[in-house]
Amino acid sequence: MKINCPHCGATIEKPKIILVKCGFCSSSFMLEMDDNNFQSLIQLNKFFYIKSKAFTALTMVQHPHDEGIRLDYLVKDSHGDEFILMVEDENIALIQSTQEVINEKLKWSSLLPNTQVKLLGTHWLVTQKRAYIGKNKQSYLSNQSAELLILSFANNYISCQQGKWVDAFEISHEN
Amino acid sequence: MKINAIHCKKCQAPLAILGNTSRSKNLICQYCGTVMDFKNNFKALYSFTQRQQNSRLTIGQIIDYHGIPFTIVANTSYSSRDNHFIVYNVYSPTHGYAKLIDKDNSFTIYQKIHYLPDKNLWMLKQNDTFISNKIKFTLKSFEFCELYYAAGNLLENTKQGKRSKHAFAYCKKTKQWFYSEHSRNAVNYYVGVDFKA
Repeated sequence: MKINCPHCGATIEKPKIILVKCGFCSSSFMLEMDDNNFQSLIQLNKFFYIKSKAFTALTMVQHPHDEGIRLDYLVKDSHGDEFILMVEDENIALIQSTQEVINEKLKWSSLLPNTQVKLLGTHWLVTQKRAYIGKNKQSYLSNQSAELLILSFANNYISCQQGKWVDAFEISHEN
Repeated sequence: MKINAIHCKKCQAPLAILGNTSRSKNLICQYCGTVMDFKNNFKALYSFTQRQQNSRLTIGQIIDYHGIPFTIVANTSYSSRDNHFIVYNVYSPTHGYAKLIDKDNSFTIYQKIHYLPDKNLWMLKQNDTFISNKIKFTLKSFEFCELYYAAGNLLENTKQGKRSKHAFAYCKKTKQWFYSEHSRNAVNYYVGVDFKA
């Protein structure tokens, strides 16, 4: 798409924002046309560092849920070990790529924020409830060491993933 | 393709949509106080009857925190029996949301912390201590507040008069603040430092 400036006539190539007017109700709004300016701390196939430890992001999957969109990057460290880097704005966690089924009688609905639970030998506090669109329901539990336990509730079983929260300011692109 | 700005459904003022729109719940016109539903085609829900007082920062203003530009995307004003404070939501596309709080005539910028306190903060009393990430904080105040004004792109459904709980603690040694807010779906903890806006 190429247009000319109505004031000076200069050519504007690929305008990023356009004003759209609804023919039905006459309300107008602006649309950002270019999604290539998607900014993220993590770029696919590029190195990044968490506290000086190097990782590469291999793939990224988006998981829409009731509160937003969670980005899961499959990342590999220098030893070839794989992790999931879960990114949701300021909420970033490095979690194990494997899920384990746990034998606990817990209900997602009863795990309200600030509920204390003892699981896998550790005391946890429920910090968030999540309902994924068309998928499982999850509870996020954290502890005093900034560890994360994600409980996924599906059918008649509960699976869990463990990880560690990461401060966005701990991620860099240079070691 | 994403919506970047709209006109207020009531007063037609142009409103920039800042922040992460996938997390947005309400867009509130900073000119007339109309609350619009982000998830329902910006339907006008109601209008705030109160007006903001003494806001020293504006929506769209950019602040620098650790070399990262954060944009002010919303503000929420709270009042309690003997205090009032303003919470500004600030956003960076790479570092997410942080909070800038204008309280007691000074600004503090808070970022989220996942090192939970060693005690249940909400069971403590003023001047009790707790530890988070090896730092000992003293609980300064609990604020049981009423929301009296909000504007901008908010991550929660908001309502004038909505009551909420906020906890503020301080560490003299490291000069760091600790803040917590408790809502229906989440309890969040933040650590902060004084900020010159």
